[in-house]
Amino acid sequence: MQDISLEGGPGERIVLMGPNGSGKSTLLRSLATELLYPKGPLVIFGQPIFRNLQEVRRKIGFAGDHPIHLPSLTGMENAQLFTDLYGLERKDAGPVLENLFAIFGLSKVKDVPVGSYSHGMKKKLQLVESLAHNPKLIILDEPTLGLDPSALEAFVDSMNHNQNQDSCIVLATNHPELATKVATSVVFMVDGAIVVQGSPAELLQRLDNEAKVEIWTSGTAGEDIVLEGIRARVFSDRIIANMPTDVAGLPILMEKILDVGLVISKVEITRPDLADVFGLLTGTSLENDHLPRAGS
Amino acid sequence: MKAEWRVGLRNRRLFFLNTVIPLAFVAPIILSNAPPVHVTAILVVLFALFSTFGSSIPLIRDQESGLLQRYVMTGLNPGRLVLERTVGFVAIDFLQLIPAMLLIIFTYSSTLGSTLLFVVAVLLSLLAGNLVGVLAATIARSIAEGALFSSGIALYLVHLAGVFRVASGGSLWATLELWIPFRPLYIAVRGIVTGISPTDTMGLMALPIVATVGLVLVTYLRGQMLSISKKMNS
Repeated sequence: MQDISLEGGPGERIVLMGPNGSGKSTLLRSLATELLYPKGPLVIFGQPIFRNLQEVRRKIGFAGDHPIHLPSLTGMENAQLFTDLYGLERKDAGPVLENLFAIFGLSKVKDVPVGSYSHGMKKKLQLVESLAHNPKLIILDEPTLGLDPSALEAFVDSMNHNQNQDSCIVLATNHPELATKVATSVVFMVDGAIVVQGSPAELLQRLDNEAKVEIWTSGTAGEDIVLEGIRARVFSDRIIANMPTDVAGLPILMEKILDVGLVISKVEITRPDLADVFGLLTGTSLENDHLPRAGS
Repeated sequence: MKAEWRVGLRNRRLFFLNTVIPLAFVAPIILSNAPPVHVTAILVVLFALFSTFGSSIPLIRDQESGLLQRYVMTGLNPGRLVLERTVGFVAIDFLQLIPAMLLIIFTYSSTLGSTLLFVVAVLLSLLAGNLVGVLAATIARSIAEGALFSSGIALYLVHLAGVFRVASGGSLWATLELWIPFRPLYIAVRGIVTGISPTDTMGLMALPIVATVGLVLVTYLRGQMLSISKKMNS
């Protein structure tokens, strides 16, 4: 990790994007005060955390990438345990938990032991537990990993319309659509450093005059196909190229693909997303973390 | 502590086993014609091991799973967290030992005074044993290590309590013996089994209680180290 400073206030949602090993989770875990930052004092809410660590922690809601619960207790009992630990009164926590269980579609299983929950349900329960005490800083590491599309939509809705409008949310995801929908600010990370930061609109503007062409193939060309004015990224099942919005280079690209012996099964032309902007600005790819899109 | 109760009572199979197994050990020993000195030693060892395992294994399991870290991340004082959990462990252990204790009391037709001393001594031993288990858990890196450390320390304390040998009067060992939290249990069980009750119960309890309070403080301070448990790779 290099010297890093993130600024966010109430209502802001900062999304960290970067490939595996870029430092997203490490940054989140240190922000959540789970890891000891060795290079100097970690300052959150304007104060070094060691000045009042327990008070800082009460203002934070953290959901790591692996949901951990007491399997023999029900979902509601687990959630109540954490609201108890955060110091909430049962009468105050009850309605909040009921509401969050409803938002995340867990109401029907709230009295079922967590040991029989699926991974996605455990992730949702962890989100409930992280949000229930109305923290000032919400830290979520890959919150949608393992969630089905409907749960993903519910998560986006909860982020955009939840009761935590006075909270600052910092989350890590490599899901371009999710980042575009929820972020007020997107941070690109590579090798433990922040490379670029900006709003989704500002970042997407970098590729405003380009179209994203995805060509689904059988077989692989094995190396990047370079054309004049077009750089295509080759994956096991598809080739992705950015080109001017008139896509005049598409026939040439398709001819080249056919020439190397690949069979084209589908061509999709879309607007570039944040993953494409990440590739443009950092020279690396998010693809090893690429996730299925909501609704696909 | 509430969670400890809920988990302990929800896992009925484990609760049942933890109740039946001490009973299954105690019954054949006290119903046999084994010499009182052997019966006493075995019962003290059994109770001491039962108390230390009850806390060390769940704590190590929660450390390994990351659950303990999640508790600490809520802003709860980690020292208070481990002490509250210890109280929960003691209460559950005590419930699970009641059938075995009743069998001992009724088999030897224990007097009221001896029974009261026995119950108080069991509670003190459970508290001290669980604190030892918690301390073992904070230095162990696996459940196997935790079981080894906690049982090793418990057996050594049982030895120091004078269960296996008689210390020479006035020696360092004889002085140390008076401070060991398992000593009241040893004297109480011996009193029930032999029918010879100790006369100075207050004197018997005072120093082990002070030692146990010391253990509480050490456990609290050790628990504070759970505050941030991992270092970031720079």
